[in-house]
Parts: sequence; structure tokens; C-alpha cells
Amino acid sequence: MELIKNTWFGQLYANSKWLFALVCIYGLGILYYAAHQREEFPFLLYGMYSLKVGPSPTYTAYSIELGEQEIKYIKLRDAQREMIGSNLEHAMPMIEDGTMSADEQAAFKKWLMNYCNDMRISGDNKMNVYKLTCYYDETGKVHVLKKELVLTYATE
Amino acid sequence: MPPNRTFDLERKTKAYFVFGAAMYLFFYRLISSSMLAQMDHPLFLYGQTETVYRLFLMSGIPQFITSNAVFSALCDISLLVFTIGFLLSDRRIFAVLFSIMVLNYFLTYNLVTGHHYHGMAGLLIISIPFWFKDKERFNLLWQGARYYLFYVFVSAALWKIFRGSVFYTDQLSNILKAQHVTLLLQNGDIFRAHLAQYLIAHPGVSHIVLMVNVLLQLSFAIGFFTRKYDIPLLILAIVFTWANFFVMSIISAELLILTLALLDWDKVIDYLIRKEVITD
Repeated sequence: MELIKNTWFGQLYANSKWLFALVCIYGLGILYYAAHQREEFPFLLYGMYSLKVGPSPTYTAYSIELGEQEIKYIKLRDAQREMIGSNLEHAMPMIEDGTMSADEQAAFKKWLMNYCNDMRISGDNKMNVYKLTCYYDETGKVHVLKKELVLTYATE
Repeated sequence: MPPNRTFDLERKTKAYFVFGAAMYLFFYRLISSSMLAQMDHPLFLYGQTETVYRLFLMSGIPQFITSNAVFSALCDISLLVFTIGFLLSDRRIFAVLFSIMVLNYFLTYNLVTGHHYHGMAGLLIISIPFWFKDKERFNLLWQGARYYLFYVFVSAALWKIFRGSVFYTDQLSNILKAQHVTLLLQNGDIFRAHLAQYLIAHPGVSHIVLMVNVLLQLSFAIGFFTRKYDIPLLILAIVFTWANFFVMSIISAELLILTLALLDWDKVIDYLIRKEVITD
């Protein structure tokens, strides 16, 4: 009994019953969602790339050109890459399967261009987004199999 | 004359470190064009998969914030105001408001990107002890932040073990193929690209890297039982962050704020008193 009292949980229980209850609920929530292999904020599971990833014949990347200049992703900070990359990954399937209206597409392209320009990547008024379908050879080198123009936007 | 070593002094010193690091993180986000006011009124908010995100969307708050330049700027500025307010006045309400605004930023950023990024969770967790002035409660929650750091790493290791991905030879090689397409296309000459290309072409080597990574993450379990290895674990956390950057091109530095809970604060305060950073 004394041993339990000396643990962090025991001390928390002695200090504050409601804090102890909150921590227990949080812990049980994590266990519940872990058992269901589903993440629900705030019960974060921190898998850190634990899902099995099988081989794929091709991989997709997006290349953005502002004016004549291609955005180099390496020059972007993590959060910028996330803002651009994740938004493209979400929006492109909607554009391709026709679930994004023409107005929404125009607004999305405008947002993407404004965001890129606001990062002072470029002050250009023309943007092209290409979808690159790539594959790897046995030396680990990547090659472009197909390059398609998927978005284009220009302002006055 | 050196100041008296009191709980208040220790709590205040920890506050300067935690909130100072928080300001650094937000400054980095500011120069990364990713504060709320810099998001340029994004068209879509992606939160369909998790209940809290759906409820947050239903409240209309993120839509209002991201579409209103003045309000989004106010939300950003409030992070600085509440930090300064807390550090100068030591009033708990500022710490609570700071945590709420961090939560608001965390949820809104994840809704805008549609990628439920976890890095900011560390800041949220370590800000909670400052809601309390009671010595024992503060110390218990500070310990809680320390345990949360261990949970993050141990959980990452256990998931890889239970899902069996750590035993799959091509796992890291396949992850890197998906992760580094753009890097290899655009900057094939830099060190990170060479490293990625080598690991992609040699799944056996990348499998060893993955296993070492899982062992490193699993080693944090020792922290649940003893404080003796906190400094080596702190070093391991930094090593993990560097390795994560070089192998995966992911900067997980934001989670490192939790490592403040691993420091030996008696020594830190002694040092700061000796250097006369802390004076009467």
C-alpha cells in the first residue's frame, strides 16, 4: 500500500482527486483508442510512421512554378511545406474527381498563389502546378514518368 | 547576496524557460509564414475525421479566425501578450489563457493543413503545470509532463513492434521513397538526398536504422522507473531529433520542449545564481 502511495499516481490521488480522475480518464481514452487503432484528439497515439508501408510502382509529387521559377521545397520551412503540400494533396483528388466546383477551384488557386507570394518566394502573377508521376530505379534514383499540368492561374 | 532558493524561484525560472522556448517556437512559425494571420484565408478546413476537430468546426471559430484578418492577428498577438503577462505578473489566468490560445492555434493549423501534426502537443502539456501555484500540484504536473515525453517515445516504439512494421525489411526504404520524391528530384546533390538514396537502395541497411530507432525510442521506458538517466535521455531525444531531420527531413524540435522536464533544475538554478543571471 505504501508503495502505491509513493507512486506518481498515488501522490496525485492524495493531492487532488479531480486531477487524478482527469489523468485516469485521459489514460483510459488513450487505451480505448489504441485498442481501436484510431486517433482522436486529445488522445494522441504517436505512431510515428508505424503503419506498414508496402512498395508502390509509382510515387506522386507536385511541382509549383511561379512565373518561370520552380518552388524549391528544400528552401521552405516545415510548416510552409505542410501548408502547401498537404493542401495540394487534399485538393487535387477533389479537383480530379470533380467534387470541387469551378468557383472553389478558382478560390483555391488564388489562395495557393497568394500564399506562395506572401512567403516572398516570388512576386509573379502566373502559377502552374504540375503533377509528377515518378518511379525509383534499383540505385534509389528517382525518375519522372509523367508530368501533367494540373492547375494554372494568372492575375492581371 | 544570492537569492533564497524557494519554490517560487524554481517555478519562475521554469516559467522563463518554458515560455521563452514557446516564444522561440512561435517566432520560428512566424518566419515560416504559418501563424494564423499569415494563412491568407484558406478555402478549405479539413477536420472530418476526428470528433474534437468536427466540434471545433461546428463552433464556427476556425472559420471565423481564418477568414478575419484582424481577429487572426489578435489571436497571434495574444500568445505574446499572455506570455509577457504571465511572466511579469505571475497571475495564473495568463497561463490558462496562453494554453487556450496554443490549443486554438494547434487545432486551427491542423484544420488548415489537413495533416494532424502533433508537435505542438508538447507545448500544451508543459504549459499546464503553470495553471497552479500550489507547490505539490505544480511539481506533480511537471512530473506528468516528464512522463508524457516518455509516453511519446515509448508509444512510437510499441506501435512499430505491435504492428510488425519494425520486422518488415523494406519498411523504412518504402517510407523514404514516398517521403523524399521531391527532395531527390529537386536537390539530388545534397547530403540528405545522398543519404536517402542510399537507404532506399539498401533496404537491409535502412532496416537496421529503423531497428536502432525503435530501440532508442524504447529506451525512454527507463524514465518511468528512475530519474537517474534523465540527462542521457535528454541527449537521446536531441539525437533522435537530428537523426529524424537527416533521415526523414522532419523537424520534430517542437516536441523537444518537453525535455525541459528532464533537466536537473537545482543545478540549473545554482548555475544561473552563480552567473548572476538570477539576482535578488
